[in-house]
Amino acid sequence: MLSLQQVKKSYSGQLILNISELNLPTGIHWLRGKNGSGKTTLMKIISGQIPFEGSIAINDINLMDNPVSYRKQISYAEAEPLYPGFLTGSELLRFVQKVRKASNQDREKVVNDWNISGFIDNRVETYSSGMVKKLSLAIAFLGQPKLILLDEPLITLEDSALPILFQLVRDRVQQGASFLITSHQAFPASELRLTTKVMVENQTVKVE
Amino acid sequence: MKPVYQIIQRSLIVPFYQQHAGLFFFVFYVMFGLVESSQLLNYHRSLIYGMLSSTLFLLIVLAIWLLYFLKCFLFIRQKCKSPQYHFIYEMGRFSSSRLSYYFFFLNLMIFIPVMIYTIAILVVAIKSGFYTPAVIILLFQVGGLWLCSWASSQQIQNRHLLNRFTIPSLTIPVNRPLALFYISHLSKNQRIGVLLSKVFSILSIYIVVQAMDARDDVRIPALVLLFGLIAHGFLIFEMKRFEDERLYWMRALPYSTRSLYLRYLFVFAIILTPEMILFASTIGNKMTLLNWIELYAFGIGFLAFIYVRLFKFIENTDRYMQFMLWVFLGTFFLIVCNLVPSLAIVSITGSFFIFHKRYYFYESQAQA
Repeated sequence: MLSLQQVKKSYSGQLILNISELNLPTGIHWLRGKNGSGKTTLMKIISGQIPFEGSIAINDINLMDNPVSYRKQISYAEAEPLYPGFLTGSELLRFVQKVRKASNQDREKVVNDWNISGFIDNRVETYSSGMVKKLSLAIAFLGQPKLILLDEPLITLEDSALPILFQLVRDRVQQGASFLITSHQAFPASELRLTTKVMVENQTVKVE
Repeated sequence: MKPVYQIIQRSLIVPFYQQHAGLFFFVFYVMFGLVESSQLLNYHRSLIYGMLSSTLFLLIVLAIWLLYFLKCFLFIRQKCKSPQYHFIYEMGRFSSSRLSYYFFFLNLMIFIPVMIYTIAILVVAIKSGFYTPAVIILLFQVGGLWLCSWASSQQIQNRHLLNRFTIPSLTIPVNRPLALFYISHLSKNQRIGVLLSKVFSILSIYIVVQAMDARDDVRIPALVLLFGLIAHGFLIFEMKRFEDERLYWMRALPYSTRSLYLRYLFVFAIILTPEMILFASTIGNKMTLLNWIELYAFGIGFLAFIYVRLFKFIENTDRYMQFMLWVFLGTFFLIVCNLVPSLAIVSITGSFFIFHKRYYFYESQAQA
């Protein structure tokens, strides 16, 4: 499903990531690593947000060769999302819905799933960090992406939202989607059956 | 005391000059670059005499300074409200008088360019016996500085109180397309910048349009539009900064560079609408429809070119200023050579190639 070949990323001449090869099948993958190990950088590379050396493909669609087709297959919820404060959550969802060609039903479903209807019509600048997090997760689940990247989805999320997150992940996996999730906390085995654990350390990745 | 000055300098004064480098460059160019060096002294002497002898002229200058005061105040207010600057609230532990003193220092440093010119005005005024305007100018400057300092210190010490003063902003109650994200940002967060750019640009165009003759070719309106476009450099810079901070997540969305670029052109077309409406009023008597289209395309292409070069210069305002200078001089020369249509085509297509090459290969330092 996800394939990385000779991926390198440096900042100011300092090599941060040097991944010769990584192949992940369909499923749920837990990206682990210490602070500063490069997990978020790797997520941003896979999401196509930042430049890098090497090659990445999802289902044989290469980011370099077919950037639009590649991006159609992914969605990414950042650890600390930042949106324009003057937009409402509803406007953002409708915007992403249009870009991803999702249906109104899809949009209504994520609003209901994440229980955000109470504040979705308010401006983002009025949201708490937990509300922004829920909105970013709702956006990530909008449409039918094949790979959903969740960067620290558990932080700032209230306890009652965790079962919702786990249920939605399971539902999407059943529909054929895959997840790459970073988290410092372990996932309860009863909630999520992990396909692989990927350790990011010493500038590279190791599948456990 | 020294650490406080250092913090103020590094966190507020330096960022202010960095963020407004384009504006300063533009004002500096208008004040000192347009006139031959041999005529510079006489030019400024005439300008100052005009200011001191004409009440209307003086009021216009005071109005511009007032806008600048407002700009400075809103910059400090906006910075202090951002999460990265919450440490500034530690200063709330100082006494009111000491806090006002620190903010007076801050405002004075931000106001230095105006203060230097004010000193020159005061010297000429006193030497020439214009005592009343001199007193008005002095009171206006000191009063403005004191008021800004007081208001900023109140913000720090009274943040537990409800804010009763807000500047109304344009609210768009529909689902905004991407282009309007930028317009909304400028209208909500850069009101003073928009006002200054637009007032200067529209006023210049209005004056030139009034003086234009049917025999004049497209070079005259193109040159005055170029001055207006340079005044927009600050807004384009702010657009890029906004994009890097708040729209970075969009890079994971399935947009082609061509589709994105067209949206940017649409943004620039909206930004230039007031200027183009003014030019449109002359179609038929002083300008042809073809000239108008050429001007619009030239304006859009110029802003697009500034924008795409910001992929390189966004982190280095000094180089951005140098770039603006060279692009102004180069464009000025090409307009004089009657190459407006070619400029429009080359800037729009050339900017697309730079955009296509850079957009997904650019990484904001804020993301690193």
